[in-house]
Amino acid sequence: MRITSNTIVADFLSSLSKSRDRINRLNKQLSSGNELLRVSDDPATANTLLRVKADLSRVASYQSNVVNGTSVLKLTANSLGEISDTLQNVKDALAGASNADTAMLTQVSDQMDSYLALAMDVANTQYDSKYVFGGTATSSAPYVRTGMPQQVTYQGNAESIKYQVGDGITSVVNITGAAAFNSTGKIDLTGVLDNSAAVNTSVTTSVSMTDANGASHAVELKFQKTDANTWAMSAALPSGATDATLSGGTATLTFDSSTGALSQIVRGAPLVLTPAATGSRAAAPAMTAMISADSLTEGIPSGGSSSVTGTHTAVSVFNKLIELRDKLKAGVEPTADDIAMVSMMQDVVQREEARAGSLSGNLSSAGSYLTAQNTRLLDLQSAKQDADLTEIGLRLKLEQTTLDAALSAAANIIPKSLLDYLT
Amino acid sequence: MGGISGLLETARRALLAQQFGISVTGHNIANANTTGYSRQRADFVTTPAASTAYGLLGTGVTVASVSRLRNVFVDQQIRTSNSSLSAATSDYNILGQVEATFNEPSDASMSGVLSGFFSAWQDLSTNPDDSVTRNALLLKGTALADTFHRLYSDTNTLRSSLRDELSTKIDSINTLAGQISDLNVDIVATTASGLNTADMKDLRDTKIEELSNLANITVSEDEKGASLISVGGTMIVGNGTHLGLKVVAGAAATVSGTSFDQLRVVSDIGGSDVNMTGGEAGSIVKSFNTTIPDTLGRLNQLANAVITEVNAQQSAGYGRQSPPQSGINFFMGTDASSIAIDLTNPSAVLGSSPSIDNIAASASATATGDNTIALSIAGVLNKRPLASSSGATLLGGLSISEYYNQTVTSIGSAVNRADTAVQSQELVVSQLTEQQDGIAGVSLDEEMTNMIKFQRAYEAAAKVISAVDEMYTTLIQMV
Repeated sequence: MRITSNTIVADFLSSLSKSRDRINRLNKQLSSGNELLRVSDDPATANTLLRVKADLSRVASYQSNVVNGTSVLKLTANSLGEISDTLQNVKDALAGASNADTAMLTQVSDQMDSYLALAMDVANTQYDSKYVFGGTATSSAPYVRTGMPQQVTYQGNAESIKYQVGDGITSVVNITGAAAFNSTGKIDLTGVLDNSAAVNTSVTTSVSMTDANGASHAVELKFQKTDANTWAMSAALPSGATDATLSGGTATLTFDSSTGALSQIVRGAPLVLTPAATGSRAAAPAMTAMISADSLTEGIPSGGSSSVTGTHTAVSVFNKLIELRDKLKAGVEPTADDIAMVSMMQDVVQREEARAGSLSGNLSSAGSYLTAQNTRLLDLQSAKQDADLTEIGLRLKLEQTTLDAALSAAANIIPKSLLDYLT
Repeated sequence: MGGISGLLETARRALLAQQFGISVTGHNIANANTTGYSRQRADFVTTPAASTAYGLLGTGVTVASVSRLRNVFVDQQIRTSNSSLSAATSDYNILGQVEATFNEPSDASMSGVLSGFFSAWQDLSTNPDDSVTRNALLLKGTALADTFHRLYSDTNTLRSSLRDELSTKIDSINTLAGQISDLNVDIVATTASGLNTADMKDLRDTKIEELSNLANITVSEDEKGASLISVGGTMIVGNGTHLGLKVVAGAAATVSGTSFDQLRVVSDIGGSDVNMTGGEAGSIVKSFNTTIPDTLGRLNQLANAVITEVNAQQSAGYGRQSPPQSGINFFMGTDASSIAIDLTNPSAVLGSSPSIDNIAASASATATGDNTIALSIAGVLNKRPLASSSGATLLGGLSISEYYNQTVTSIGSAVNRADTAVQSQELVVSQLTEQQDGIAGVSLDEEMTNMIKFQRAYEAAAKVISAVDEMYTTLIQMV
């Protein structure tokens, strides 16, 4: 083939321009630290990178949610712990108030008032100017004193607040006052049990309990005579009921053989009714009720057979404290039932404190998963995007050597022609 | 003829022929670096022999013609490859600008803004009532709308600029067609009068090569030596005639769900469509009519999906007003150029203005701490399939994030394809050019050798003359 000097020059210029192009690209990679400068450099990798970037941004959001949620739950658990301690103090004070004189009772009443103030203060705790115990009603204080005689009413709701901590994963980050302080109550029994009934005779009554979502649940209480003047009480849901689950609620009632009045009540675990979720709505908090049988007697019932009626009344922690305060102020000693009630309330508060702890634990395991995911994504991003500086440095050096060689060869060869040798 | 005088005549012819040879060599050397120049060669032939008593005797040399050394077949291939190379380069430049507008992968890009907007909803879910978080969300929403506007208007501006560029290219095509047609006339006339047309043909080939950069041309030569050129089947250059082209608006076409105005290249006379598919003009027509509208249409669909889905969820929720209101849209508009923040309360009695209070985070009219709506909107970026209010599937069943990535990747792939095409066509063109240069290019070494050859022959012919001169002297002295 004929090779003219123009062919050589054109070839040389084209190689030179390609070489400079490569050097320019390597330089850009080196100075930006990025292997991928534009999508068109490698569309498939760029697509992965875009996904990874979006994932990273999402994971960062979730991580920030975990941090926020953990703080809220820690504050919640601490607050519940404080109220549990307060209730312990209440119990101790009540124990010291038995057989006390009026002055002593007044003093304990004052103590109750300060415990009430303390407990309400804690229950109205705010985190980042949101009330922690109001459910999703976070903008106003959940507990306010109203009316005469004074009552503490709950302004919040029983809704959960959920933060997103993963794709399709949400985690509850609140304990509502409805669950911790307003889910307690008592079932007052009235009526007459037949004292002439044979052993093993039983009688049942249905009690309606209304949950925080406003739904009613029927609970059947069964009284079975086990011995003379002794009845065993147990609680169960009506057969086939699916609206809730139930536990506890047992008691042994002993009546005075001569007066027929209740002489002793031995309670098992308190009755706990846990409503099931209905439709899309989250389940209402579990209700804990104490059996109170002070108005139940044993005797000869009118009509000849036993007749018992039970009424469920919700009693919040705060209203119980108000009740105790007013009672003590009036010089009335606290009863064993009062102490049992406070004790049950403390158990509920502690149960919720433990739940806050376990929710916080869930968040922290979600957090560690997110950290691992973040690391994995960063690794992937780095592998796809970051320039291998050593390799690029070497390639750049090689390109420069090639360029130098090409330039020097061109400088030496191109000017040569036959003309140089003709005289 | 014969005799001493015949000898002198033979030597004279040799002198003239060798001198002509040196002239051609000089012309070649002079044009060694002239673009489009084909080397020429003086074709020597022997003059008719004279009959003598001893038989036929050669009478010397003459120059029969000057041939132009060029491979016409390679020229054809170069023109075709040139067309592809120019189209690929133009594609690469135009799409490269679209790619640069999207500025991926970087943090200052649509993907970052989209993530930022939906992360702001995620932030709102942990602080549904907070003014600072709501303000931050409003700013991210504004940034999203602005980014849609910027991407759309930048890409659309690029598209509009192509209209002028196409007109310029068509003007160049018309000018070149006119010049080639004039050269055709000159070449046919010169050939008829038996003169050298080599340099004119070189000029014509250069013009045809320029034309091949602009359009998909086919070249043929008629029996008189005129080049006939057609674009996509429409003859634009004949012998002394040429057909002007012009750009006109075509019927609007729907590309990726949006209606766009179209450009057509038609003939000046008759106005019939010219199938412009190659060269720079072809690339511009394709970019204007199809490629860029596709990107713009996809941006519109993306904006529409964001508006539809965010509004559907936001309007079902409640804001922070007193009393809390629902039914308020976050965005207004329907596409990438009209998307804007709405957040105005349509039921307000007095003129309502956009307010962060109208951002709905809560699904409950009573609980301000509820975050159901905020959480749900935070998940919209990756939600699929999305549906319009009438239930039609949006974005072809992809999520907003996937659809955007697909859009960006398809632009990147197109640029990548164009880049590969440029590189491979460059290689083809450079190989063909090298091949043509091997035939038509001037080699100075060769020309120097030829010069020495002609010079020596000239010297030798001169020696013959001096020999004849000596012979004459001898004869005269004999007398």
